[in-house]
Amino acid sequence: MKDTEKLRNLAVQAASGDLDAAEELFRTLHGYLASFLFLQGIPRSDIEDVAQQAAIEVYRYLPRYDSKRPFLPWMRTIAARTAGKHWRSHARRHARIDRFREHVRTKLGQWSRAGHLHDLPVEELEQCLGRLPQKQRELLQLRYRQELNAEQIAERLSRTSVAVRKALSRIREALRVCIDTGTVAVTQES
Amino acid sequence: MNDAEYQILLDKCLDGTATEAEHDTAIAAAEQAPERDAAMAEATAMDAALHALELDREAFATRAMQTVTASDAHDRFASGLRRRLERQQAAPAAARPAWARWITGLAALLLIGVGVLITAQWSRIGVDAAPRGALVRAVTGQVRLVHADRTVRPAAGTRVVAGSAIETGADGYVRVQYEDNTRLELTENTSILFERADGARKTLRLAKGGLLADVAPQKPQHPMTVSTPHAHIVVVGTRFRVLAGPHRTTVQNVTGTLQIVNRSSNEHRVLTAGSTAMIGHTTRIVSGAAGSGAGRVSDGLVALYTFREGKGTTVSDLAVFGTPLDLSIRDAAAVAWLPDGGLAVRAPARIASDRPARKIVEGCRASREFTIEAWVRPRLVEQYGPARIVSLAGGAGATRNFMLGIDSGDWPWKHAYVVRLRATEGAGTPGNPMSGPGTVTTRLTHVAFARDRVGTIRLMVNGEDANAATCRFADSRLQHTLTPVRQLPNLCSEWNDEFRLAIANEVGGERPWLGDLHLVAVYARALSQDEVRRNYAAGPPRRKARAAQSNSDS
Repeated sequence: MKDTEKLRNLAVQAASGDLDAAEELFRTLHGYLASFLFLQGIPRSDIEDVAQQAAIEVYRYLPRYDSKRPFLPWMRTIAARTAGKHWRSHARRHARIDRFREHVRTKLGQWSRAGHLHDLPVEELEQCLGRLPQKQRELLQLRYRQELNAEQIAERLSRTSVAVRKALSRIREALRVCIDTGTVAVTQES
Repeated sequence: MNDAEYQILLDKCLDGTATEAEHDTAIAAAEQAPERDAAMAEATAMDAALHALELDREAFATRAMQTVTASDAHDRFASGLRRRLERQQAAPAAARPAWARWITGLAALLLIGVGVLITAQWSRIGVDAAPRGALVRAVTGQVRLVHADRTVRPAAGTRVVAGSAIETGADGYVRVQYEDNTRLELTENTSILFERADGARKTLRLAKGGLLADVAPQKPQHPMTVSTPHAHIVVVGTRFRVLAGPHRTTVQNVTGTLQIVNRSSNEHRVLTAGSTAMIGHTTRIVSGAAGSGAGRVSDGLVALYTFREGKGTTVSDLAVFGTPLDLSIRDAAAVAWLPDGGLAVRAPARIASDRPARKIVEGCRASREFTIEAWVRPRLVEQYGPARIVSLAGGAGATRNFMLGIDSGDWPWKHAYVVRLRATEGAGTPGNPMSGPGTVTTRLTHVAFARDRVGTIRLMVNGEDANAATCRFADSRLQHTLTPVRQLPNLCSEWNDEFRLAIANEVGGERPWLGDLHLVAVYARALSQDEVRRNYAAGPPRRKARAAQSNSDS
């Protein structure tokens, strides 16, 4: 998602009390906010609630936003703080975050500075998904809508989990290329 | 590791199927190579974005706007009020007549008085950081605090005063601390009344549920007392657990001593450190029949049957974890209680819990580890099915959580202990953990099976490694025949929590086992080899030992 002039204007209008602009801002930010919270290790079951809290916090602090500065890093700071509060209040329930997710959380700042997170490709991704072949879209739905892991998908499709992982990896790479170039590369099913 | 292998590892980390060792490998690989670190960043960002796309954007925006407009209305009201107040303050005081200023002053004083009264009343149950009496220190899940017909959700800092009751739901947990550092932890489905909570005297009434108390030394003339439907517990200073169920109260004393009074028989007992007492309306106090037993491992124990009842048709669960999961003997004529302790199963019998064994499933889900242990004396080595020693399943079919049994089929399943559990592919039937052929004898035998969270399994018979797939048996053909099955990563995640626990058979009676049972234990963690050997060295429980320690059982 790009830190566009339109986004900053929406933030300024919302800060001045324009509720239509606030609604449009929330609609625009939703995917970005949710994906950022995923990276913060918030479980999927809690994402909607934490995203709501983060959005309300963003709205509360909008009058302090300096429109000459980028909007997304400013918003990420607030979202990270909201995620931190959630972690503290739910520490018992989520005490078993795995090491990989913990590592991702610690690297977020560094990755953000390197530009990897600045481009969390939510809007562009939506357009690219529509260009994928049906079979690949179905595979993504099994993984991301039904939240099955590679082994469960493999069992359902009578394939091996390695083949499923490779296929998912290829699709993600194709989407990455699509976001960069606007075209979907044809990938081979294994 | 090449790039393709790294990519597969990364994908496993993303879909949550990687082991901890694989997490470490992926992280180390990323730390060593910047391009792999970048690949990890891009893959996780893409994965997160794909997850986010499946969420409902319109519902999110609508709900956020509802909150914003509601809070905006409050803000507008507040700012309007502020403007009016500012205008009033800006008006010259001299413009008001003297009588009006007097009335305003009196009204203000009256308002302040009313405010003080309301605050004093409110602070009896509200948030107050004053270190007097007991304070709530931590709350999770469904919890409510009831006082004088008012119900609030307590938070850290909420004061608990005399007459307050705390109730926890199925996922509730509360920690309360007195100013003398006495700590109380209330577990799920608990209801407790703080009859006195002024710090000097602590009187609690535990109607149901679990309480873990770490009590600082109290004045002997003012001991802490905990009353349950079955017992009074008098504490001067110790650490203990109480579980009040519908039929009995279980008290496990960790340190120090407790005095226990059975409310039915008015019997007084002193419970020493490491002992457990079970107090029911009709049953006796069973002091010294500790959940762990002398020398045995107790950490992680979720169910324990020592078969020392000696009579009746109920086998009591002695573990102080969750609600006791007692077993009912449905075919009493098929069994006999042994004089030294133990239950002899002489004909096919059905011995099972009346309720689903949820505490075992939940304990295992929390730790992703599991151990089953038994002291048994098979009546015959030729038993088929496999014949079930312990089973947590819906029946004899493939739908099961776990099963420990013996088999006497064709080689290599000849006279072997067999374990099947829902953690392996194919519902756990072929190629499951088993001991080597000929391990089953008619002698008293200790058998234990453990599986840890990364899938390592351990099957030990009489304190020795007996897993046919890993240990060295004389018959080397086993090494080639038994390929260890691939374990699914999340043990217990798909376990059915409606299954009942059965021993010496399946719940439906399809796979009977004959022999003497001396102990069955389930742990929600994987016991180490040394711990299994420690339990083996402790030997089977003996009824004599209980009689010696509990000489007032009568």
